[in-house]
Amino acid sequence: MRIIIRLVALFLGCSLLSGCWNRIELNELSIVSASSFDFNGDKWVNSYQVIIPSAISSGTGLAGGGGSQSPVTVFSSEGRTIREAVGKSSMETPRQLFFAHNSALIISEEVARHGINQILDLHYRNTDARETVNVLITQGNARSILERLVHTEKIPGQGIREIINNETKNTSIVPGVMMFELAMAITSDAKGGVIPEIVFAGDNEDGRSLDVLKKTYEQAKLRIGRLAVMRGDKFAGWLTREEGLGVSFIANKVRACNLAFRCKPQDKKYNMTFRIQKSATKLKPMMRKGKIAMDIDIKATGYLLESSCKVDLTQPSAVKQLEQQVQEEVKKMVNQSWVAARRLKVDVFGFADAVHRKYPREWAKMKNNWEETFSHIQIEPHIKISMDRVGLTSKTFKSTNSDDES
Amino acid sequence: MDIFKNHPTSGSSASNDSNNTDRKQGDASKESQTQPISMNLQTNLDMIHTRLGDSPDIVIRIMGDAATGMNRNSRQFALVYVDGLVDCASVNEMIAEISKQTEREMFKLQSGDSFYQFLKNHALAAGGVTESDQMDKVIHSIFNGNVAVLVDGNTKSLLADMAGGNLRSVEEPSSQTVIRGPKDGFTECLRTNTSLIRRKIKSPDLRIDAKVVGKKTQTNVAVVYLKGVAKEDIVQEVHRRIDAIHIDGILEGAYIEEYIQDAKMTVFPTMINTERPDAASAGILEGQVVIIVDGSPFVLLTPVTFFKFFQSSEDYYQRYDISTFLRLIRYISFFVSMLLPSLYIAITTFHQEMLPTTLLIGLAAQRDGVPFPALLEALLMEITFEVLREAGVRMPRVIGPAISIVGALVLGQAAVQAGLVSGAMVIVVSFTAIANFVIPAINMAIAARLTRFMLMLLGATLGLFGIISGLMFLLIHMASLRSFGVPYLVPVAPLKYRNLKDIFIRAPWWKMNTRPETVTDNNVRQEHTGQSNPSDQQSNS
Repeated sequence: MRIIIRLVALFLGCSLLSGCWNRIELNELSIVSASSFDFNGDKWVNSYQVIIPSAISSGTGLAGGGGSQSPVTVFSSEGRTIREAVGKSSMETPRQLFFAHNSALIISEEVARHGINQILDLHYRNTDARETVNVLITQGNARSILERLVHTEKIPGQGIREIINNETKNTSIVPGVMMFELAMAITSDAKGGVIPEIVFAGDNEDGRSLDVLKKTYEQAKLRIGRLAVMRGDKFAGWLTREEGLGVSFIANKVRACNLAFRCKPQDKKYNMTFRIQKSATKLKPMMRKGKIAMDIDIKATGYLLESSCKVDLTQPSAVKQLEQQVQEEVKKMVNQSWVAARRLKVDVFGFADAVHRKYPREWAKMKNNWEETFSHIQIEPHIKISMDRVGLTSKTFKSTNSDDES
Repeated sequence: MDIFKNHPTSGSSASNDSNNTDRKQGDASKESQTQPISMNLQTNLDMIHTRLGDSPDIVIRIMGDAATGMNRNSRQFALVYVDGLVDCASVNEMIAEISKQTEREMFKLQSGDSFYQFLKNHALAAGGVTESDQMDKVIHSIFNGNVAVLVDGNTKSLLADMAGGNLRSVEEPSSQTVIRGPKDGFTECLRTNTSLIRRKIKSPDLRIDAKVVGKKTQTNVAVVYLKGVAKEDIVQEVHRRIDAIHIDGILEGAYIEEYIQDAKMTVFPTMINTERPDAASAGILEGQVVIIVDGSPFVLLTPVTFFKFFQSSEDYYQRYDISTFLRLIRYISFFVSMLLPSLYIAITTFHQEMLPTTLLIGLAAQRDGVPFPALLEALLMEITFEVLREAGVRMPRVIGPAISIVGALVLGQAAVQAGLVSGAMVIVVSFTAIANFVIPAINMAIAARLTRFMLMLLGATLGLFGIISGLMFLLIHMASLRSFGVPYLVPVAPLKYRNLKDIFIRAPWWKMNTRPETVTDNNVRQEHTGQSNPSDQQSNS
């Protein structure tokens, strides 16, 4: 009995000591849905897209349903360091900024040129900001991206994340990059990472007012653009969308994508579409007379999505021939992206890691001028596409309707 | 007897000294009251009169001829009984029978002794007739519904069992209902209750040990068990603990439960009570000991483990698949009713990053304009609900609907609209409350209700860390509990693999061929006759 009283006293004492020091109520939080980094001279300008919960949720109580109120508010703060700027934000917001639900982090090209080490450090050092935030880059002012509203998604920050996710899942041209993936890529042997670009297409003044949601179309919208290449933590250059898909193929990031190709080698127009469902890439470095050759082994499966070519798909040989055409198409893209990467001298494919694994001794020697070695690599793409299905009809309408043609 | 060392009333430690002196005093006072029955009828009746006072319900009916004049042989006798405790029709019938018989045989009988024998052997129209020569016993038995027959010139009294009077008949249990299964329930009458068990277990091994507890109430208590199945030392321990009770009155089984349970400082019950004869019989068949207290329709079962409280008797009357599912639902409900408010507080005030963004925004929107911190909000709602619940139990039935309307409004719409609490909190509290009712044993549901408040405080001060430490503390505490020597968490800790068939799942009957080992001496439930599944046997033949 006495022991129990002592235990209770001890426990009560402990709970007094703890004092709930890090307790924070939900209505004391400013939930940040997206943030951005800009430079103003030599100062960091952080911008936050903060959710206004009562405007989004049709919550009951004192807060009425949303509708006419903007779902988010954007504001900025300036400081010599990032966290100094965050600290200064408390001078203009009544609530504490809460970064755990940050969906998108937008970096301006200027910041990227300057280096993003500080941003990565911040996310790894602190518990509130997560490494699973999607990183995006933009030319010009990053804050202006935060100010745009997105149709169909109430919270623009989440809208951006959904766009990226959708893109990653269905086209794989510019796959989304999370903070930790970026950190892993630029600290790996290859020291090369990619960040998708988000661009603002359309009238510059539109898209900031709630009125934009009252129309059936968007005059100004956010769109995923090119692929920024990072050498270490610094910006190195841009890859186009076509080059981006090639990078995805080599770096084994393709999850699914629609690929247009020509039915026959002599066709001028792209007249068929192939849907890649599964793709796997293996990199096999080989030493040939002191030089490195990279065997890129891509195996992909999928099905035919669209055809306007007169070809008898009931014949296995015809399907074989179509597979051949897709392989040619992929090979072309791989070569394009290789040329682009060599131009930028950035190993965005992770060749360095493959070489390091296979030839650890040689790697020690070539490590220091990898950029030079990289641009002299010979690539040998081997692509194996298998077309599993051709769809419900074996003949195209073209072949049934117009026998006279071709 | 090491396993019983937790219990203060067992063993002969120093703490029992006071109990012993109590007992000596009690014995001494009893001795002074113990008086033999006198030869003289009038002396005996005077003695009864002095002992019982002038109560109008004590009936003394004097019959026969007194010894007057020439007739030296007194054939006078008296019937003593308590009006209301006996069955009037039977008593009247008995009196008529005695009159008829004695009139016819009157002159053959000479002495008081032969008259007494005649009454005993021929004239008393009653089933249960016992004898006693102690006045105390006589008085005690008339309060149990016996008719005492005192014969002049004889030092013995006949006690005819005529118990009757107004008693509640066997009805459907009101607190533990089933959809499928027997609908009879225990009543306040001990004898009815033992008969209900006897009707279900017609084994000669069924033992009913009678006891009397309570100095003033002299309450009859029965200890029922199946000899050869129940552990002998557990039965003895039950006897010893009941014998050690010194109290002037026992009005309900709960009195005995509090006296004989193993741990005094715990929210977890170590005895289970039931209103259902089938549940009691099932316990007896598993080797449990049942304690029935006269005057209470709830019987006590012991020893029990934590998991027994999640077994409903209906589990065994439904098919095993649905029973298993329902049992899982009950365990989940137990944790929900214990943890949900504290988890809500901890996550919304410490771990907001754990919530999905959309949910977080929804909750944050609801909290906009709520003036109190989450803990206060939760306590407010929980206490409101507890008040409503208590009011619901105590209030007169007529006002019931009025209170429930007010309660629904207060707990639901109005509190939210007034901006006192958030809508999510109402959902949390009401789901917690409903989950609490799923637990079949009310005393275990109470344990969840009480620990909930402790965990809420922990969650509000230390977050999830506090809740986890609270749960660890509860787990350690439960592991230290024993019920009549049986570890509380058996068969999970210590793990007894073979006994898990009836814990988280309810295995089909043809698979449950053993009884729980810890409770019983003889764990064979079914004799193995080749295959135990009867359908298999059919298909083979």
